This record gives sequence, structure tokens and C-alpha cells, in this order.
Amino acid sequence: MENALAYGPQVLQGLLYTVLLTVCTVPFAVMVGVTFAAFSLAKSRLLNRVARVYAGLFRSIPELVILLFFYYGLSNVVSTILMKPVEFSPFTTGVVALSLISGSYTAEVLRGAVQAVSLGQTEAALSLGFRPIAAWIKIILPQAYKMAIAPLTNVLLILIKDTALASVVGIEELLRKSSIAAGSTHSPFIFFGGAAAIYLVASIPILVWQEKAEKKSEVAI
Amino acid sequence: MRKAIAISLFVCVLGTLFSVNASLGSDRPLRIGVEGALAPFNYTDPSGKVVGFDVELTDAILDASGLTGEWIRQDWDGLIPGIIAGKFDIVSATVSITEERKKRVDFTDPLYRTSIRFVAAKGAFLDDRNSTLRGKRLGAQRATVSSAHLQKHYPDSEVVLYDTQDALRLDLIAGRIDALIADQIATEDSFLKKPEGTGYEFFGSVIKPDDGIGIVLPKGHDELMQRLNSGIATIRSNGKFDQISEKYFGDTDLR
Repeated sequence: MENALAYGPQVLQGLLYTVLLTVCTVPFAVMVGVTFAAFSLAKSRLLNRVARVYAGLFRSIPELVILLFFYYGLSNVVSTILMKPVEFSPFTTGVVALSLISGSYTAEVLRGAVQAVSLGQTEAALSLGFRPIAAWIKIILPQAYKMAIAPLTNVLLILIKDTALASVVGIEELLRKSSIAAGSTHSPFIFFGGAAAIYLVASIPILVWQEKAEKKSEVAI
Repeated sequence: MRKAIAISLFVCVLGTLFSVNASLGSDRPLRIGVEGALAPFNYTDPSGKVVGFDVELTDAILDASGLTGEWIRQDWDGLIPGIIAGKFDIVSATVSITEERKKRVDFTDPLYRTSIRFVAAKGAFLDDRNSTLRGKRLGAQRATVSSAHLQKHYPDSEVVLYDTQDALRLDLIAGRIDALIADQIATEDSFLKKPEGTGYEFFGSVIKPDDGIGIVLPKGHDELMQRLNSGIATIRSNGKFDQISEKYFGDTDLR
């Protein structure tokens, strides 16, 4: 077979896709998460219900099933509706599915963080003459942010590892490339060990950011 | 922040462009699904190209039938769903022809025939009788003829299934299973001949469990089926098959 080192560029190309998937998913996951958190905090019972169903569904169904459903099912459904063949690229499918999965966790984290700020804070702000909007921006959100840092970091770290699931729709990210190289050279220890090390190194900046953000918010409040 | 969002959106668009599928035309090459991680049958070279015995055979068959193809790597688990959902035109990835699979997809005539065999630590077992392996932990790769063989013939043993050959072998080495059963050629080539396989050996009989390895087609593509079958007949009679077989497996008979 081939020399294991020669597969380095392939593995790095896999890393590129892992990073691309993560970078593309994060903004959408945040948008989805903020939207549904707002829904579940809204005064409308209907919106509350919508947010609850969404978060329930996407947190309960296995991520792998969601990805397979979007890849194999969704293009068929859309093709039938539009009455012409529509093909979603694996990358688009991966980003959409991962955004909805991460978005569901993000929504719950944000809702929890806002609700954890005691009602007394809002009442105090309002009685001091803050308008409701100003009370939100100046009093509630900064405190909620502080509480959301750790769980949001969790969501991000889990997302990075979840990108590996996107290999079932044909995206060759880090773990899949490593697995291909392991199967092609029959050196599983080198490639799976290497992949683990790369995931670890990639997560370090996020861990550092978390620590800094937590310190900073400590000072601010 | 706005800048960060703009940059990430730009990167997303790039990512989508990179991964757009080949355009769909009428005389496009066949999209061939392959796992690409099973040396020497179908695997990936350092440049990212799919190579191996299956690949050379299939290319020769397509050539003989006047067809062209492009190879698309996909997880083993996504290959049959992929062909049913129309993501591939054919799959050629050491797929054994089984009655179970024939319910969902069609197969060409056999390309070649491999055998499976048990492996365990040297001297651990003398034969592969059901009574010898009673109560033992036997491993195989999930959804293969090997796993079907275990489940059918060894009801008194504990059957442990794995996603990949690598995981299967690692657990044999770690002592979490007593024996494994897998493709004879692949196991010999990539395990028994390697340093980590020195303490292990084949035992029991050579089993030809199935009707051979075929190319997978979606149900009802009879014209393509005929062309591929005539291509298979051509390379088996004009010496091309033997030439490729000898290159990979010496004088082992795979017909």
C-alpha cells in the first residue's frame, strides 16, 4: 500500500471542510437560535408552541437521521412540489441540517439564560424609569450573556464534532478523510490518533476565548 | 462583527461552489458510487484518486461497453441508500450479491468471487464448527456477507458487529472478540501480513458464501444492465480480467 505520510494533504483537505462547515453553520445557527429563543420568550402562545415543537424535534431526533432525511428526502420532496428535479449539494445539505440542529440547542440555551435573570432585575429597571427596550438591552441581556457563555461554547464544540456526521451525505471532512486514509493504508492508529489531535488543537482557541469572555463579563457586571 | 458575518457568508458561497455536483446532461458519464477505503479492492491513493481492483475492473467493463464513468466516494452506509435515491447510477464497491439486497436493487452478473474465513490468535481454535465456537465472541463488519454468515450459522455464539474492518481488527487485537470473520484476501493482505497481525492466523474452512461480487444498479435499468453484462463477458473472455486479477492477486483464482 501507500506511505501513510503521503496522505497528509488529503487529511488537511478534510480539515478544510470541517472548518468550512463549522464557519458556515455558526451564523445560521445563531440566527435560528436567536429567532426561536425570541419566539419562546414572546407573549404569543402560538409562537411559544412553535418554538417548543422545533426545539423538541431537533434535539430529540438523532443528528444522523436528520442529515440523511435532508439529503435523501428533502430533494425528493422539493422536486415533487416544484415538479422538476432539484438537487441539493452535499455541502448545502450539511449546512442546513447542522444549522437547524445547533440552532435548536442555541435557542434553548438563550431562552434559559434570559429566564435565569431574576424577574426582580426587570422590575427594578422599570421602576428606575428604564423603558422596557432599554431594560432589555442594558440590564437583562448583559447578565444573560454571561450565563450563556459556557453552554454556547458547548454547542460550538459539539457542532465541530458533529460536522463528522456530514460524511454520510458525501462531504469528506476530517474524520472521513482520516478513515479513508486508514482503510487505504491499514494504519488506523496513525490516522484516527492524528484526527483526534487535530480536533483537540482546533478546539483550543475556542476554550481560550471562553475563558477570556467569562473573565471579561465578570468585570463588566 | 458585521465584517465577520460577511466573511463567513463569502466562505460559505465558496464552499457551495466547490461541492456542486457535476451538471446533469444526457450523455454524461455514469456516476459510480464507491467506498474507497478497502484496500486493495477499492481505496484511495494519496492524491485523492479512487484506485484498486474493483476500479480497474469496472473501468475495463465500461470501456468494453462503450460507457464512461466518474467515481464518487461515499460512506459504505450511504451507498445503497444513495443508489435508491438516484445519487449514483451504479455502485461498484466489492458489494456481494445477496438475496436480501436483490429485494431493493439489481445486480449484474458476478464480476468475481471472493471467499471469507475466520481469523483468531494462533492456535486458539482448530476448526470453525458451531460447537467449537459456542459461547465465543465473534466479530464481523456490519451489513456484509460475513455478518450474515455469523448470524445464520452461529446462533450459540455472541455476534459483535463493527462499522469498519479497522475497528474489527483493533478489537481482535484488544481481546474484546475471540475471532473475526472477513474477506480472505483483504484480511491476509492488510492484516496477517502486517506487523500487528503476526500473532494471528486463518482457521476453519474457506467459505464462498455468496453469488460473487456484482455491480449494483437501481431496479429496472435493463438496458444499462445488458450493456454492463456484455462488458463483463467481454473482459472475461479477452484476457483483460486475468491481466488485472494477476496484477493484484497473483495466481489466486477469483473467477
